Amino acid sequence: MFEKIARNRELRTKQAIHRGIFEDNLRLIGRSTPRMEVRKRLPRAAKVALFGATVALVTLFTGNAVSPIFFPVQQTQAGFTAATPAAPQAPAASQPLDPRLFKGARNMPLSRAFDLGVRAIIIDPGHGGEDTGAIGRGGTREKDLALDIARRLKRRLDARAQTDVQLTRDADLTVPLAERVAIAHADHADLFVSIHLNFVPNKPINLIETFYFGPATDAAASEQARRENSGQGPGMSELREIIERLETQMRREESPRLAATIQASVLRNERRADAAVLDYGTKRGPFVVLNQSEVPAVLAEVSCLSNPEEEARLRTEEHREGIAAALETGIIDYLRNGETIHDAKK
Amino acid sequence: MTQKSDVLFVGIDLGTSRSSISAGNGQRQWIESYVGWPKDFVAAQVVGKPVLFGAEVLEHRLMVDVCRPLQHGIIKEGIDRSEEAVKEIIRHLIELAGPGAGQKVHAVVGVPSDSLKVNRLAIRKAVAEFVDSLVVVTEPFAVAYSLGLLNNALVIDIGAGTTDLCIMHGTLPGEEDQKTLLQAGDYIDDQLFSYLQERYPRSTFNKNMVRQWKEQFSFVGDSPEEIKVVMPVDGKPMLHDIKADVKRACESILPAIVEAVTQMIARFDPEFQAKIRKNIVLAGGGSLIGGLRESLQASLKEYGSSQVTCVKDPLFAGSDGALKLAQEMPAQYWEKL
Repeated sequence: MFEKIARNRELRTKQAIHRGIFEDNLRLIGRSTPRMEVRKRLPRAAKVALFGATVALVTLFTGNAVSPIFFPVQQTQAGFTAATPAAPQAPAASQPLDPRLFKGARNMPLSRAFDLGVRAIIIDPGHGGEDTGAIGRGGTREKDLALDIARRLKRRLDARAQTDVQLTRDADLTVPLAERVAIAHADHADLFVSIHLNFVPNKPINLIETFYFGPATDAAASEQARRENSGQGPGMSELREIIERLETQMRREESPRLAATIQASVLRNERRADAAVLDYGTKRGPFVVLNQSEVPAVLAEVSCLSNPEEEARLRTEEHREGIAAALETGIIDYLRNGETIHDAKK
Repeated sequence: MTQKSDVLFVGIDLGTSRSSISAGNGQRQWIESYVGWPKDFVAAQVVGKPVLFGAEVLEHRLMVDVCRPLQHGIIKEGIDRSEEAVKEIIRHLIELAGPGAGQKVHAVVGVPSDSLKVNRLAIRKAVAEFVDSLVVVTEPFAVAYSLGLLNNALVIDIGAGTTDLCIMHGTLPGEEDQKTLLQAGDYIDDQLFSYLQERYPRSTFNKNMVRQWKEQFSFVGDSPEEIKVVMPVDGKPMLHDIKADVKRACESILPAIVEAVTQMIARFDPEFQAKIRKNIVLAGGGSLIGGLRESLQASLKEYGSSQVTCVKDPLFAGSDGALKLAQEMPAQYWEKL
């Protein structure tokens, strides 16, 4: 009798597991099951709407740099299309939204909530060409260091996996901001990491900080409220709501997560060289947000060129390789659900 | 087994060091996960084959381009022919299983658990050519399935490139139930290699020799026997005692594993933590390390009593589990995949 109950229980467990494996594999090849259709609809809806979205331009002023850095980032749809290679049909926008969609997502990186793969990473070495960036007292130029570190980072990431890694510039070239945007767009970037070096005049400090592209401004928030309260048909307002939430969530959770893992890793690396390095943490920074970026995008100030000792260290290959390795670890940590990998801890 | 059916079920364990296949027709085969292509025309003449596998590759390694496609538990695309190598391994394994003419092949493939999503897709693509229907699962899950440990169990699969941990709680393990460490067989090789280089700077030996010593002598804790190996010094063969170095290298993976195990269990529902501790299974080639089971059990003692066991057949545990899963999956699932 008891044996029979136990056997039945095991059978049920197995059935659930078989179903789970089946669905997992279907998801992997981009097909959906009836039960999962509600999940599918979302990225598709996002895709349709984002298709019309214009180029996002984010202007960033770093608080303590010598000159303001203008920095754009592209709003691509890559993250979403990647998840729906074979989305079957247009979304039934008039159907009510399933609240479960967002239930579990709060504590989970969005890329995992929707199984978004990371296929393309864009590394953006800051400045270049006519724009030298900051120049240290010893004459080291920010544009050269950023490019060197970016190349090292690319080499490291290339050796790792199937991810496609591109640089926005692979030479000492003046690359207009619009072009950097275009590169990210053409490559369907899933992650965008910009490498810069800090410069704090008149202060002999060394610091590390990482910026991410900012939150909705008040204007955007009120726009969102307006949309939600609009008298349009339920389908359209829901669609917009989904997009708003997606974008908000991506901005609020993904970019800071990426920034946090990169900041932690770069700082850990820097502490080995300079125990006195200051942790300025991750920041939103005072951006003027014209439109939001939906791929995780960060700007890492990986070192401080105004500090003479740090400048001397930056002249060594070892230190630059160390920074590249730290950036790599930060990115991999982010991809691995924020868990620090063991060899990185050492 | 003699009964002819139109579908051959196979379970494949795609490992970093060894890959194995278990088939419904009773075939069980394994090869080392090395693929080699002759470097030039002369080499092709000497080896007499367009592609070499496993032990043959190591034997002829000076005349072939060697590829170990899943070295770090991931498949690399566009670099050193990894994808092609995975395809060759799969093709070879399925040939070894020997499906009958006109027989369809339905395969379950176990892959390292932390492979990024993209990676699993790449593996799927590589395998899809040779089978009619395909399911990809994680390696430790396949091991758990073969042992029938579907609930309240923790599988630690110590492979060459990675150590994969997986908690089973009656459902398909999610990402938070699985963890991958880079401390595994290759890591021990690297450690041992550097310890020996430090200790015997004038001796010459290579990674391959070190790996063989490890496979032969590895242990943690206490071992009464001496471990003596021959290493040439200035060309002259000399006997060296490497016991202390082997012990130190093998023990180097323990802290990370213990930490991961305690972390994973601690995250779990407290009511079930004790049950999981009683149900820890060691699998993979690493489970053959002498004394590892006892050491692990002793290290976990301070968290409460634990029971660690080793799988009986580490080489085939993964592929047997995959085969069992293949045979038990409902037919309608296979049709859709």
